[in-house]
Amino acid sequence: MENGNAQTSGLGKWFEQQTDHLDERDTEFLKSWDSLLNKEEADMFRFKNELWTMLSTDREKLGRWFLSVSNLM
Amino acid sequence: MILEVQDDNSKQQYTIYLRGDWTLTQIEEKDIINVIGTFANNTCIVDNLNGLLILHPDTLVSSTHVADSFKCIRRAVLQDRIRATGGTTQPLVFGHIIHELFQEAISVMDFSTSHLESLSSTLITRHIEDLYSINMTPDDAAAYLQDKIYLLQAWAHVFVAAEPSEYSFMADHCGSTSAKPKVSINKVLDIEEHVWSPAYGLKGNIDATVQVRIEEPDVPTRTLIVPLEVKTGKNTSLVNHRAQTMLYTLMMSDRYDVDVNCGMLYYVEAKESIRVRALRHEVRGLIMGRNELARLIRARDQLPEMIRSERDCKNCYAADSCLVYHKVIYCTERD
Repeated sequence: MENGNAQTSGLGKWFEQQTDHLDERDTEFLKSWDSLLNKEEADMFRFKNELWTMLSTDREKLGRWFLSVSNLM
Repeated sequence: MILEVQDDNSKQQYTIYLRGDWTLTQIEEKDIINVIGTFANNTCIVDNLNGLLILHPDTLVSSTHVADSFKCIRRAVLQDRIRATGGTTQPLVFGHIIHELFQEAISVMDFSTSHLESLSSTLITRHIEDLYSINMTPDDAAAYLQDKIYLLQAWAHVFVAAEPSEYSFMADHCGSTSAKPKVSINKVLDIEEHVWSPAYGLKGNIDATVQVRIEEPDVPTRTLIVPLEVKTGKNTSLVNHRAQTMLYTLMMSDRYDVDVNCGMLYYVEAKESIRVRALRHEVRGLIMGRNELARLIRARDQLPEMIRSERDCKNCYAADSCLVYHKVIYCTERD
C-alpha cells in the first residue's frame, strides 16, 4: 500500500485540487476504517449464499434459520 | 481452457471445456462456478455459441453496475462497495418521481387524468424534501409533472391495451426498421420487483414486470412475460440501458422459470419505446463482464486501476470517492 498522487492518477493538477484537503491524519483514519468495514462486511456475507444452497430444515439445525414461523398477532 | 470441477452436492466430477472468448475468464483453483449448458458424458463445452459460465455465482452483482462497468470497471466496483452517488440534481429527483408515477399508474392500469393528477400531488408531498434540496416549489413541480402526465398518457394510449393496435409499433434495438414488432401490454405482474438470481449471479430492481402481446411479420402472435425498464433521461442511444434490460431478461428467466427472450425500454422524455432482444453474442459479453466484475468485487482489499481519462473522470459522479481512494489506498490490481 502506498499513496497515489497526481501523476499516478493521470489527472494532473485536478487530482491535487480534489484531494489536497486530506492530510496524514485523515489518510490514516480512512485506511483504518476502510479495512475494518471491509472485514465486517466480509463476515456479513459469509452465510448469505446458504439462502439458495441449503434447505431451510438444514439451516435450522445450524441455528441460522427459524422454520414455520407464524404470525401470532 | 479445461476445467476439472466437482458438483458440491453429488461430488460427481465433470470436465468443462472453455473455448472462444471464455478462455479470457480469470479463474482460479477452488473458485465456485455455475455452468449453464449441455452435459454429455460428464463433460460440457462452453464456447461462443453454446453455454454460459458464471464465475462466483454467490456474489450477486447489480445488473446496473454490470451495464455501467464497460466504461470504467473501477467505478462499478466502487459503486458496489460504497454506493457512490453524485449530489441531488433536478433530473435525478424528477427521475425518481416520474418512475413512481409511472409505476403506480401502470400497476392498476389507470392512466386517467384524475388518477395521474392525484398521484402527482401525493408524490410531491412524499418528495417534498428532495424538491426543497433542488430549490423548487410544489407548484412548479406540479406544473412540470403535468407535462409528463401528457407524455405518459400518450404512451399508455398506444401500448396499454388487450391487443396491439395499428399504432403500437416498437423499435427493435438491432434489427431492420421495416419489420418492427407491434406490442401491447395487457397485464402487470409486479412493479419495482427486487430479483435475486443466483443462477446468473445477478440482482436488480425491475421497474415493471409485464405481460405483453407481440405481433410480428412471419411469426405467430405471442404472449410473453417481459421486464419493462423506464428511463427519464433524454439520451436514448445509451448502450448501457440496452445491456441492463438484457440482463433483466436473464434474471426473469431464472425467477419465473420461463424463457424470457426480450425486454422493453421506455424513454418517457424522448417518447421512444424499444424492444431489446437477448441476443446470444451480447448476452455472452455481458456475462463475461459480470464475471470480471464479480471477481473484482470479491477482492476486497484492492480496486481496479483508474482509467486516467481527464475528460471522463471530471464528469464522473463517483470521482470524489474514486480520487480519495486513489490517494489514500492506492493499490492496483495485480494482473
